Amino acid sequence: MTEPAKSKTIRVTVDGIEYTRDVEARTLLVRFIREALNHTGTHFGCDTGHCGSCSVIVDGKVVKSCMVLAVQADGADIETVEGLANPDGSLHPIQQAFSQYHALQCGFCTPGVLMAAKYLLETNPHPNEEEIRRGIKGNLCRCTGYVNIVRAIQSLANEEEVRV
Amino acid sequence: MALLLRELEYVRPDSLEDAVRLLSELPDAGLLAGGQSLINVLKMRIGGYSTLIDISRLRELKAIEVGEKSLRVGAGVTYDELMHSMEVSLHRPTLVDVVGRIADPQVRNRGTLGGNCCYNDPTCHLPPILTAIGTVFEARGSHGTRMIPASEFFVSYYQTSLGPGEMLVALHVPKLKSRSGDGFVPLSVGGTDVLNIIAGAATVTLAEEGGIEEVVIVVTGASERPIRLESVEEGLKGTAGQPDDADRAFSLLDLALLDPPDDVHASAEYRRDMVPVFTRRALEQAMKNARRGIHD
Repeated sequence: MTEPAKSKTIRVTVDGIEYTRDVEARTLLVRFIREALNHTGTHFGCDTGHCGSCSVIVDGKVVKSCMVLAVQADGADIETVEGLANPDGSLHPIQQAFSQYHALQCGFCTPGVLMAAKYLLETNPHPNEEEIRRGIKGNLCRCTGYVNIVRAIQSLANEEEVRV
Repeated sequence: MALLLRELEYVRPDSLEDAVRLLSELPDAGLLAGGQSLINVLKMRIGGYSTLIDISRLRELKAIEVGEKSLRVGAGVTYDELMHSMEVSLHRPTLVDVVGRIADPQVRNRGTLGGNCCYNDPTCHLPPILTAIGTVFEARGSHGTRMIPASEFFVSYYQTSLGPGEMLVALHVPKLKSRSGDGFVPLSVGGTDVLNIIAGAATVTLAEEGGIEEVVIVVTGASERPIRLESVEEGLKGTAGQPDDADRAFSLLDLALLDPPDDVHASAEYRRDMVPVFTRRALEQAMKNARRGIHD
């Protein structure tokens, strides 16, 4: 068993790229992703677990990365908004839907909302409106009033063939 | 505002035994499970530890076992795992409903049953319902295992009866008996299920002819700990549980029992007034579920 330590070497995979880094035990996962790995697509909003803009998917489960220590993610496979689009720049179906339905205005919350939407559709491919609203309950958007976000997700929920 | 955590040490033991040993050996060590409350406490520096012992990956804390009369649910089971447990759906369906309402998917993916109980936040869903259904808490320390009934586990605001070096390892949840049902109705800020002003919980067992045989009614947010409304329970026993019976029973409510806080979310007066309203709704829900025989 390892002994208690102020820092630890961790290995994580972020959007398909594997990293090994020393990290202080007190470092939040969001700060690690943004500042140590320079993946700044994931936003750091309220820092109190309320706004959800830092949402990422860790080993298949969406979490708020400001509410997890980086050391706790040791060995994890992490998906962020930066991994959604294809390498050629073409957008992920969820991103396309957000564009088509104008599901963002300032865009600050969007990286988190997209990951919550991805998780929702992975765990429930055909959510109804109520399920969509419950699915994005952990994400605050102060621009849209959620109407277009719900429409965008609904458009994917209705398509049997869409793979997310 | 960037909230930096105070410098601390971290260790992730590989076994429950090691975790218990570290907890008793290390000075000022705390347990980190899902962290959905603790990380914020550390950020705000309301409290702190020199060392965090990460128990979130311990398999021993993840099991859900079905016993003859109760379910043994590991303290490290997350809300999301509980929501998807067939065993819990079958034997205490109300827990699946209640846990599914907690906060949001992100919190449910990390937050654990044990963490929530040990934090004992008076605004949370689990303490009242777990008290109402007669949960027994299994604690492990260097001196062995101790079983603590819910009525003794939740001591006061953010306090449990766990001693130094003791950790919660499992919750023993009685299986729902036949002709029984549970109810849980919170009054939460903005109806968000995030912060309860008060919460009513009830469990009821009906006699074969349909009258109330056993009933437990609990409220949180009206005192420093979940409290049972025993005078109301006594008033209900043996009745048919009709609205007239409930009127009479709730008129027996001992208001002296209530010592609600007065804060920005609700005045003490409002909380006191809402106690009979929300506990009665919980009772009605429990009655409905008991009459139906199964939860939907």
